[in-house]
Amino acid sequence: MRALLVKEIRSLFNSPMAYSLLGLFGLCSGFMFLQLIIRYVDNMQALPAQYTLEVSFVNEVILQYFGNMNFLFLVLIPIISMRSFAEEHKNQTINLLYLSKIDDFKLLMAKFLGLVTFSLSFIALVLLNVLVVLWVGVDDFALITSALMGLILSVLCYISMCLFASTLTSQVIIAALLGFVFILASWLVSWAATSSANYFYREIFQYLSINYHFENLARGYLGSESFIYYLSLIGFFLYLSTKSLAKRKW
Amino acid sequence: MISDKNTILSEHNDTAKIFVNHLSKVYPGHTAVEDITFQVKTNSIHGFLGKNGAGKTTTLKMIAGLVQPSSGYIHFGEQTNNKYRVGCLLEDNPLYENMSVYSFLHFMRKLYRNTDKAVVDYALKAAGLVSVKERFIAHLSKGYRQRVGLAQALTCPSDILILDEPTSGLDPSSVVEFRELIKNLKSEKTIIFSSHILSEVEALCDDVTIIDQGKILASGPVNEIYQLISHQAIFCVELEIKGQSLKEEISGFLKEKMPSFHFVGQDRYMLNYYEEKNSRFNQSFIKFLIDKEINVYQFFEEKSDLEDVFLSLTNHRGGRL
Repeated sequence: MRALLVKEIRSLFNSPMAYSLLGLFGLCSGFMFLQLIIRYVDNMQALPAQYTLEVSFVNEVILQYFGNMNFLFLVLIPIISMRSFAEEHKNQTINLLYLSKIDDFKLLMAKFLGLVTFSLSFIALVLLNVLVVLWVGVDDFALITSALMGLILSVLCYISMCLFASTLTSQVIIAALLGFVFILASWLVSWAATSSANYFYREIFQYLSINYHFENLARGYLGSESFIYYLSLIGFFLYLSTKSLAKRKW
Repeated sequence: MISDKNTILSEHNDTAKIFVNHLSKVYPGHTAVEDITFQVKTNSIHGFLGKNGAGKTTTLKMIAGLVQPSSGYIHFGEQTNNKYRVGCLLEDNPLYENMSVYSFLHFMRKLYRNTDKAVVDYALKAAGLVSVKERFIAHLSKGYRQRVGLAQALTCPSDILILDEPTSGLDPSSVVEFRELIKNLKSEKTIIFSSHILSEVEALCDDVTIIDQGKILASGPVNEIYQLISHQAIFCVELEIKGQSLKEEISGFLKEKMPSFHFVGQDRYMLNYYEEKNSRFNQSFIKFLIDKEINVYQFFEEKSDLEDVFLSLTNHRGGRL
């Protein structure tokens, strides 16, 4: 599995697309961060002096920023993970992996961990902006850590969904679209929650929405139900992926 | 021992490395392989012969563990374990194009959990890849890519090597080199070699299995396979035919004998047809030619080759494989 993981990480970082995406993501995230700071400064200047203490920099900038990054990952993760299995199937190189008699689960974990490592480099760019404001005096570490945890767990969920999408087809574009649809569906469940009049259904839809749990963590609420939700979702899609791989194999 | 048409070879030979027993693969609405049984001897080259779509690749993929059989099983010597690893050069020859030859072979060695690092150098040397080991696979010619495919199969710590149509698409000189490579591996490996090129199988293999429409027609040593059609012969007649109608008349006379005409020059044709040895048919055919006042320059019996065996077994009419 280690050999495959190293190969995955190398192939992800060796492609020109990786650096284009990293550059583009860095630009977008930096621009968004700057816009949030400018808006924050404008608001502070517009407010009477007695109200300025009630406006939290962490709430107005940092948490908003993490929310925006979560949205960027909705688009980014399908792009970086679309090739995982779809291309292996298309080029028949999946047979080389099967010839080695590697377990489907190990194969999946190598792909998953490769994508996680690659995604962490994007999160590192997010963190770079946050570190700058920490350096100038913002010290709400707990809230920032909690929000960061929410972002990382959401990204792990997106990766597992997109990996599953990639096992379903040999067409990389279709894999990306399917992955995007899966992630979007996990977001849109929250709409169903707000539009439902029935309390029971509303609670269920709310619990199923990935945004609800991200917002919980971003607000510093480290409830066990959110961790259970994230881990279950990751496990569920990895399980579906192993089943899909086994079915395609035979 | 020969497994003849519609008979199943059930005896286990002590020298056999691979036993394929009553293997079938059924896809929805299509049976790719139907109840096939054959054996491959240790340190031999076993030819797997059949037309396109005969079921060769499906069978080889089942042996390699890439396709699950619908029924039947495969033994590797004493082992029935599904985890038995087999070095395999697949028909499509999948390769990671963005890797150099050397790093690809190292990656495959690690993937096969082969702890012998020297195997990469051995594979490079055996496949004649030393001069291109630092080049990216994407930049290699078809011939070299086939060699990389063979080299990756050699990095597998297995005494079995499956080669699925390894010479397809290669130029003639590469084919000759590739055959030499395969011959050199015979002392170390048990090789299953699939092809639809009969001369290639004839030149390389000790044993042969002929498959058609998912069923085995014959399996055994090449010289014994010839005996399957020992009662048949190909007769060659060089004759002068003026006019298409006469040619059609001859074809009509020989219609059950798979006649084929090859133009020699100036109304001269070489006619080949199949007929039982010592048959009285040839006498009546000669009489027919005399009656039609056709000039005959030669009339002889041709030595049969594997292609004739194949055509005879599959009742193939007209054309070549």
